[in-house]
Amino acid sequence: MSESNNNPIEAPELDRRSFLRGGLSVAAGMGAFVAALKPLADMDPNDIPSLDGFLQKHYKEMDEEDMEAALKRIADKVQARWDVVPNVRDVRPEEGVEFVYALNLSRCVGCRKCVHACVDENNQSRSPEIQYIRVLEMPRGTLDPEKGNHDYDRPKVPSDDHFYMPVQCHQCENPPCVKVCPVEATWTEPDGITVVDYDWCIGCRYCEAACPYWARRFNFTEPEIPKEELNTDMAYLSNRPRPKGVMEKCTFCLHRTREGKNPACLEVCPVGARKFGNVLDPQSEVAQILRTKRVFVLKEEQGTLPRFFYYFDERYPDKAAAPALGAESEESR
Amino acid sequence: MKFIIPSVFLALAIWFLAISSPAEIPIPTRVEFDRSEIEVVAQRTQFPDPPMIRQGGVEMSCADCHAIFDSSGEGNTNQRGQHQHIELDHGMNAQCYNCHSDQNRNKLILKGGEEVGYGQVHQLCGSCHGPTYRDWEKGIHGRTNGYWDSSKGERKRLTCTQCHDPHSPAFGKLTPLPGPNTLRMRGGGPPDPNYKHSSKHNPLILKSLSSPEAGASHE
Repeated sequence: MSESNNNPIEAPELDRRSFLRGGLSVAAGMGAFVAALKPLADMDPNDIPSLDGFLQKHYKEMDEEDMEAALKRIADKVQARWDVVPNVRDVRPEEGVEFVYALNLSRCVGCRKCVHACVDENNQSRSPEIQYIRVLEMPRGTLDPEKGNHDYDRPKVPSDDHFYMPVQCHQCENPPCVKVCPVEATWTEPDGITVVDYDWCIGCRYCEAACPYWARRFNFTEPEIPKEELNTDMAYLSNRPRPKGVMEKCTFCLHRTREGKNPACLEVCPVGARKFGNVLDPQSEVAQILRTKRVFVLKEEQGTLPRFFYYFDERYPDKAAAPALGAESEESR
Repeated sequence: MKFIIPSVFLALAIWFLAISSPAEIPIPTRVEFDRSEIEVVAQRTQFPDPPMIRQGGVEMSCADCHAIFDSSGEGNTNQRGQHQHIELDHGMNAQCYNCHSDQNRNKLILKGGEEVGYGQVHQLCGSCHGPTYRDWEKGIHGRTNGYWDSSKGERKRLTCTQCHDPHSPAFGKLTPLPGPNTLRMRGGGPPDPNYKHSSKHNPLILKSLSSPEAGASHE
């Protein structure tokens, strides 16, 4: 060390070979760097978040002022894009309410009205389409979802040989999707609804993979919603327009249900197969269904403890066609 | 020898720069349908009690007419007189006076001979459809619309005849609305001509749409 200090620093001799090698490496590095950044040139300027939006806190850490500012940002964005003034709000859960959904498999006819009412209510992308509800057409005599077909396309439903099982988010009490989220962008609210903070989601899609019910959807593109179909009644955690690259899911229409209304899918069910309510109220329809009907949950073995229940009537409406499913003759009762 | 690695990197960098283009996402075209089909209104309007019809500009109840045209004792569905339009498909319950009162046409009649108004039709239906009536009373059978929380708004319940035609109570079949047409869930039907994907190994689609197994349904 001491010896080198005494000597004047000499620049290493730059021969032709090392110049070429160094130069080439630097050029390769720069080239690779530019290539890596190239996609930024194609970025839509609208995708660049504002500074306030970028610094926005997690939903649970926002105080009233932060939330007000966040809601205003959402409203401004909606107004800039669709030229309508939305009613954006943050609806909080109520004390003493735990939501439960019950669906009568003996009644569902597979008309898919619920699917599209949900799309209209929750501002899902129309193109590409995002649907929270999948109606499985199941052959009679099995409950194996693998045998179901969601692409059925018949002139008239129900088919005599099938029954119909709509599947949507089961709002599990032990949700695998929440456990896998690396950034805590999804969590279960006190009233049992699992929600996503769309501004916090990084779009890794772990939750989509973790969900045994295939209930989560990813926005591969900027959601496309025609102006006349936009639902301007919006909530932060449910149906406000989502950005590209985030996950979304059924929230039991929390902007409706937390204000006492029924979810949109229930409202349009023509046969009354869908029942919704507060399970903590013993007089509610769902509580009575859980007490008196034969109820089951989908994929019970997963241990997810869903808040979405399927049930049967004592007698299938078409008893001749369905001896195996939900059949119990009235004489035996 | 020492030039090879940086040269390869440089070549790759130039190549990536040249071929890179924004990701092309295959978007199937939207399936259009009449969105008013989503809405469900109560299929039937409930009769007032007693039922009134407008005949020759005069509001008349059933009994007003039947006071003139005595048809007591008939009740055979082959002799429907003015009521030919009624389609009767209610299983073995195929006689007029099983439900309608022979004596008072403004009333329905229960099994015990007790007369009830058209507003209490659920009592008549419930006398045969016990389990369904029990469920309906609790709100398990039938549609409940409006508010789940009755302290905040009206919890709208419908009575039997607001959904079911009492003469032909089974529901007809419905035309289903279009199925999934999403990026990953699209399955059945012919390949969409507007569905374009440049790469053979597009990570966004599970199966090539033109392959036969994509349209395989479980039938």
